[in-house]
Amino acid sequence: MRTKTLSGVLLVGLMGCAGASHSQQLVDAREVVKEAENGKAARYSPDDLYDAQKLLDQAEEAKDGSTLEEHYAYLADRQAREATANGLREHYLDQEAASEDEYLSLQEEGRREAERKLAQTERDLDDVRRQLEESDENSSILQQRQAELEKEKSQLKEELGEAKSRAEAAMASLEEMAQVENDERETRITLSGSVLFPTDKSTLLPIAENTLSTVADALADEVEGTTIVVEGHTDSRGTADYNKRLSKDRAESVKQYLVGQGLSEGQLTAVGKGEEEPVASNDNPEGRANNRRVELVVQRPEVEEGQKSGSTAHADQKSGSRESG
Amino acid sequence: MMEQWIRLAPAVLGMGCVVACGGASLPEEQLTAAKTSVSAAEAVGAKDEPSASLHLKMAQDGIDSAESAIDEKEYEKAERSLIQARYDAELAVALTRKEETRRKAEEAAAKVEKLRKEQEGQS
Repeated sequence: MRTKTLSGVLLVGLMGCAGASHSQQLVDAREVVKEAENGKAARYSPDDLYDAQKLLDQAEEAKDGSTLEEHYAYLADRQAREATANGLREHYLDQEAASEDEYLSLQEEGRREAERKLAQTERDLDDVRRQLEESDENSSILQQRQAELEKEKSQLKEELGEAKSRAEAAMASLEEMAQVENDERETRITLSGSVLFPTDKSTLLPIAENTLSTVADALADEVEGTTIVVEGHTDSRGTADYNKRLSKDRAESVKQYLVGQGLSEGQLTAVGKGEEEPVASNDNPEGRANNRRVELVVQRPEVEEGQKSGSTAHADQKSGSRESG
Repeated sequence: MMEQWIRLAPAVLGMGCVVACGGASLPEEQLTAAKTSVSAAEAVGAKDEPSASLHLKMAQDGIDSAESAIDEKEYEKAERSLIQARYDAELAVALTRKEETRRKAEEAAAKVEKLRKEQEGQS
């Protein structure tokens, strides 16, 4: 870019001070112009460079050491420097433009990358939504199952409760009809002989069935391993042998009846004690009546700590389960 | 020589005494031109640009010594000083604008680098 013409610059015919020192300015100016020629000026500001070269020529043509030489050398120096400065400026403008292009490219790239990531995130989001839906489905299936199990559980509890109630009711009934002694491991049920058997006989009276049904109910839920010994007892009238035999037969009848009611035969043992274990004096009618009896000794097995309880635990575990109907 | 003079010095009158005019006259146009150039250099802020402020100072000094020479009626000497002063002032302008542009180019490059780093950080 030409900022000026060289008009008014040439001063012809001046004679300045001669001296070797003035030529130095020309030597220096030559260097500066050469640098400008080798730099950016040649490419970017050739007009400025041309002017500098012309001024240098003027300096060369002037007389050695003259003021004119010095003057043109000065101007050549400044012009060459200006050419270089302008050349560099153009070069920087190019760089700036290139940077701006690069910036726009990067932005565009960035935008595309962001779009790509957005699309990927959308896909990931869809995946997660699907998974959530599946897990919701699974969760509701599990909930359903849980509800079913809860229902089964309450049904079982109910049945359990009913069984327990039946056993307790039966025991209560029994207590009305018989003497019941109860502790944790042993229950002793004493049934009066007169409600069970006719005199001297070992076949059960019809009314005995009522009582023995109740006994069977009460003992239906005993825990596994429980043993029931059916003991027959008599008073002291008659021979010991006779009484022993009679009591054994009676015990056997009771046992068979209970088995018929659904108790497990393996649990039951029939024993005849004859007149050996009286509970009252045989010298009076009341005492003798009391001695004529059948005792059921229910023995429960050792239970571990934490399982000990009264009839509740027994009701939980059915042993030889009773057939209904 | 004459040809060169014609090519390099278009016929614009009043641009100074380009030919030794005997007594020569007060170089008014050169004085105005030099002062204008110095004002232009001051206006672009050459004073604050280290490389440029040197030449601005030389231009101002050149005008001062031209004015002294005019007082002594040394018009040709004055004219040389004024022409040299104008060249210094114009160089000061060119240097200031070059530095300004260099800074802008650096800023543009730095912006690119920053964006590049940001994008790398995100990947």
